[in-house]
Amino acid sequence: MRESAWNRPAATLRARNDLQTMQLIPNIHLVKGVYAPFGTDLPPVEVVCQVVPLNGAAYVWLDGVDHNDPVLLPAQVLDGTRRLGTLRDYLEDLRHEQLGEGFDSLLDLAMEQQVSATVLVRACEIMHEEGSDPSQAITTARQWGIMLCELDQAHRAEFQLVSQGSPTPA
Amino acid sequence: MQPHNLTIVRGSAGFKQACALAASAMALAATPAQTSLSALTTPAAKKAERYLTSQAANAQAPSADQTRVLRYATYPPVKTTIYGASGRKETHLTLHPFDVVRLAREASGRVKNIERMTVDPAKIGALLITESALVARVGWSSDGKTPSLGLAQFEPDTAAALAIDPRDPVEAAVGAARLLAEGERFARRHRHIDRNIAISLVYNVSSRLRGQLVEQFGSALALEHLPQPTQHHVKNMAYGQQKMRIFSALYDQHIQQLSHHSAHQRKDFTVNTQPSTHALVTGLPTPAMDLVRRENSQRHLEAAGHRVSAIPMTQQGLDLMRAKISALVQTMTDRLPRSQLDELLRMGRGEPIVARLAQGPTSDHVRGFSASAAHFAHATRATAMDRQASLAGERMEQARRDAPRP
Repeated sequence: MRESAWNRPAATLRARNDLQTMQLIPNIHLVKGVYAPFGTDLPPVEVVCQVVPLNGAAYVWLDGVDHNDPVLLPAQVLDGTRRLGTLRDYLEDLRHEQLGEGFDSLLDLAMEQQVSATVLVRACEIMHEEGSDPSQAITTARQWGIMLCELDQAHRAEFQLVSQGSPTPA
Repeated sequence: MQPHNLTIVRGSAGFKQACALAASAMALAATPAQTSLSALTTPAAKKAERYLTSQAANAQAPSADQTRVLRYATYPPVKTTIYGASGRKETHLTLHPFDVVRLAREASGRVKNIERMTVDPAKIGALLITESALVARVGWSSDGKTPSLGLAQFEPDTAAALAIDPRDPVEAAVGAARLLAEGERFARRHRHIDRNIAISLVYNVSSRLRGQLVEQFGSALALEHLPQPTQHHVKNMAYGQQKMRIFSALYDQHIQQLSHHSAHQRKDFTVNTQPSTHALVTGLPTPAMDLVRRENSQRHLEAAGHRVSAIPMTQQGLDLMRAKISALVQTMTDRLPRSQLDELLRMGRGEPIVARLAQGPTSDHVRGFSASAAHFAHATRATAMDRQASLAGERMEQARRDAPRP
């Protein structure tokens, strides 16, 4: 029988995918951009998030908090996208030195709470922007994630009426 | 398998150097002989190392086919809930309605050059909605032997005859438009048959059965004479055309408000947005246009020369966005019955987001990790199905080549 991916047991595929994902972790790419969901009457939002490479295309994981139903977008739909390099590059950035001990504490909390790269980097940016303490920054970053999920939901609800549904099964 | 050891030492002078060492360690770790640089670690570095090696991108992955479709996106995709092959509800990312309009118009323009005939973009979009609900996946014929691929659900033979790649969204739309043109010609030859029925007869029924139906019923051929799937096809096409006309009107409004588009371009984008009065069309969601028509959207303001800066990711920005979302939901509440709004807000997620995500990072994360394996397995299975269909197509092609010629 011809050997191909779909002939292998699902468990093997899962293990392979998990392994590939784990090996990619330090090399997670980050982008910064502006998310403007057209159709809602809401202003655009500055976002910083991690890139998820899938099937040869770059998606961004916008919210960083919802593992079960993530807000994934093709990277090209963000306006003014700017690459921040990999997570490793980001953590190496010398500008974090100005955060002092706060940066250590942030990493502590990030590991303790096992937040995603999106939330970690967002929290770091919030600390730079507002000078808030690490705990508050992570809380705000998570709340931003939840808010982006709600925004996605509102966006979806608005278009649900016109973009979905059919009178009979196809 | 344990993740590779990785060391990052944070400190004023040695930080960069240690990171360079860590990069070397990663390169070495890729080889069978794994190298540990743990002797250089500090407590902060160990934390960073553990962080980097414990986090994963747990994301529900679109299939390879749908990724090709989403490459066409220029607006944020929307999520759509459809019934999968197993009969269960599935949520997929798919093109924003404006991108569907773009796709249909592009296909219509290309087909005009090929077929010397104008195919209504609303029909092309309706066909894509009817065939796949804009989610590219592998379907199977009733006997389970022939796969159908892409947005327009082309069988490999049909796609080969049209010389298109059924998985490419533009080529699929062009192929669908060419078949629609054939349907239009069929409708002209049989003027006594309803035009929508004639088009679905060409797209959804084999040529032999089509001939039998025309011969048997002649001018009396009506919807109830068609097979059940074809009846659904006719109704969904009519419904899809109505939706496409709404999308087109909204998209035109959007484009016309962009000041950088010339008058010439605006003229090109003008389409007939008169609602159909066809008897098959069921009730339309009339509040839809009011909901999505936004006079002061951000892009419009920017296009008109107003400079509006994006909301920064700060606590203040968060409070501002919360207030705006509340206002949006209130607007929707004012325009829609409460029960309908609740249904819309629940759709796809099953329970309120805040209640689900506010359970604390640890439990959320643990659930996320357990679910991530299933998501990736799901994505892999979808890819595997694509490959299976592709192989089936190749086998059919090979069998046809190998068949003895008469």
